[in-house]
Amino acid sequence: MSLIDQTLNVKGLVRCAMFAALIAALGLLPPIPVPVIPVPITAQTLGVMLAGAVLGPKRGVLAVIIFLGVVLLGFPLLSGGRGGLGVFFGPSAGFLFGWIAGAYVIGLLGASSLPRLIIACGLGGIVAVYLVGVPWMAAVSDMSLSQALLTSMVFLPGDAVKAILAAITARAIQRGYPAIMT
Amino acid sequence: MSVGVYHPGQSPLHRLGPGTKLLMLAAFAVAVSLTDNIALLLAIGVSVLVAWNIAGLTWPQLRQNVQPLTWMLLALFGFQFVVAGFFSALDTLLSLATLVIAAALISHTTRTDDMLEALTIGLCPFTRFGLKAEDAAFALVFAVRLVPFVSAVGREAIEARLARGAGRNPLPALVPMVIRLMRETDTLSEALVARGFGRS
Repeated sequence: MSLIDQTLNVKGLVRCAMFAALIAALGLLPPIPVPVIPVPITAQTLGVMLAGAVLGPKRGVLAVIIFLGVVLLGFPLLSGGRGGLGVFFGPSAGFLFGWIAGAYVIGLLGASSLPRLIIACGLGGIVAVYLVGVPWMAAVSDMSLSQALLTSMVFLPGDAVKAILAAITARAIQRGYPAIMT
Repeated sequence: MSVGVYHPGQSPLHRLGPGTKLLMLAAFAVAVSLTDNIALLLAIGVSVLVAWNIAGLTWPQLRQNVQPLTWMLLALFGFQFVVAGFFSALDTLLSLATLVIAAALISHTTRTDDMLEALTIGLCPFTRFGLKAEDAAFALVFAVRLVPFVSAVGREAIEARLARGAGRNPLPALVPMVIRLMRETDTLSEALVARGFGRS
């Protein structure tokens, strides 16, 4: 393997680790209350959407998995200062696993135009995440699927805002640092 | 930077291997989710609390783990009570609380190093998909190390905007922040390769 190949390989891994740290750091920000929306939005999922949009499907997924791995190890980096094995057993744990699917879908659909990025973040960051999170919630808390879906609706406005913000941010990053697409 | 949730001690739980503990937790999770016998669930719950005590963990620590879930659990209980009756609601409440406490118990009694090692071994089957277990361990440790760095870069990006009179909103600062992080990534990976990392 040539030195350039090695550097590219290592660069990919380091980028994923850096984005995992970004997702963690965004979780340290206090939740932002938004008028009209019932639950304050946390910036952490914004990081997940950015990982898919900026790093692409494979590395985006890897970044999310690294972040979840760090949480699993016991570092309290999930927003609200939670960490350890316990967070993977709660009723909303499915949404954490959904992040993996979300980052993948966003990376797969992601493109370098704002409207397409918004669609990608909506389909990945909301639809794909809920597709994992809602059935999990239904199974863990003995609800029917429609009841779990209804419960999750409180997060929908915040997630929609975040999908749009993530798309705008991702587009600005792509413009400011074109080398990121390689 | 806080260093995980490990609570040092000498209890039998501390001395068990991390792999054994993780397998036990998995089996425990399956058992708790399958049973709907309230008496059995109560007995399991009490024994988890006894184990908590044996491990030398305190009640404030227990509260710390359960508190973030309180409202969700109460809402779930109320919901199940209306829809499916008292026993079904109690079943859901007990299984969830016990599982979360048991998982926290494992996290509190296993050193982060040991957990990392168990995770690395657990990742070995994925080698055939092109993932190297030692790379995974490296990425996890590196990500933890990078969190304070990322926070510092974020703070600087916000301060730079403040200096330009642009206001305190952290979201626009995210763009220069991520671009700088990616630049640093390039430098970091070159430094790593120069030190022999990634040679195969």
